[in-house]
Amino acid sequence: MMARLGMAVHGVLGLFVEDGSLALSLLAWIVVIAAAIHLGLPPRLTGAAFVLGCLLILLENVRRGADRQARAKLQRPRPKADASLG
Amino acid sequence: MLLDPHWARVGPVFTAAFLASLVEFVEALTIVLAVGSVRGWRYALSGAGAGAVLLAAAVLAFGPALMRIPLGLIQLVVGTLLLLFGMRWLRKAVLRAADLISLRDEVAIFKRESQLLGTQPTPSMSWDYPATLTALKAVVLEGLEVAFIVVAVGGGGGMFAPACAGAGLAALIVIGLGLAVHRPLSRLPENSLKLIVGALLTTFGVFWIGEGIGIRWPGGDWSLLILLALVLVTASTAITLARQTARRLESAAARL
Repeated sequence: MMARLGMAVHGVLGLFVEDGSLALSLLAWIVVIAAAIHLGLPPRLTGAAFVLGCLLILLENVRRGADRQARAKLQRPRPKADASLG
Repeated sequence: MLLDPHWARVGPVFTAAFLASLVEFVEALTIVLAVGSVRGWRYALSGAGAGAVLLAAAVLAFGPALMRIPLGLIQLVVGTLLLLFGMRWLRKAVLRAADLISLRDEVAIFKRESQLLGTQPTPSMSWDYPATLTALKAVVLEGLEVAFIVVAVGGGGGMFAPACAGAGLAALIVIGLGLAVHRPLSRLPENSLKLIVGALLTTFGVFWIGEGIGIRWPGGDWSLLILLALVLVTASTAITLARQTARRLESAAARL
């Protein structure tokens, strides 16, 4: 029962989180921007910073992910078709 | 009429729900076709039908309920979930576009599922429950992401009707094509569609989180289109960056 519940929770979490560092970085950035607005920084400026930050987080995460995948790919023969869900 | 900012929100909501549903329903169709061709169509269709009813019930239960929660709170919570969800799709689509993760192959999945179903013993009872459950599970698992998108972009933004219309149209198209061709729809540019959906969901996520924490977007709803353009440009840059990273490592390995 607990194992099934754990699997269900893991499945739902998996909808939103595949790379933990990407999710954590985005959540941390939301908190920083919310705090900046709370401290009275101009909303337009924080808005621009929020968008820019999210996009930079994606770029940095893709760069690291590409590095990891490329290294793994060099160590194995060409993979078969992806048969995973999603 | 077309300059009404309402359309700046309706268009992306409909498109996100339609494209996401198209991709996920095609994936579910592959399994349902495998069940139908190996174990019988009545089991495949009853499982798929039960799955669709379950998903529709979930959407109808959660979607309107979401619209009753205070707007600021819902924008922040749903926006955060959409940002995480959209970025996850975007990241995967970028790595696939750069050929670092292999593309999904519907024909290979169909063959694998058909083989698996063919080797499983058929139960002695009058109804083939394992086959029905396989079809049901495929529809529910693939449809769960669609249900989330419809509930989040529809219910969260007060745009439940266009989100349901987008998902419904995609369902009709995939069912129609499935009935017509009776084989997996492998020609769909799945990764490009996922990239666009990821960009749309990321855009909604950023926009709603911003509104939820007090950011006033210049141009109101029209800024959604500018945000979408920025996200798409970033995704394109990310693909180039990923390809360059892979090429650099390959040439470094070749020199060794």
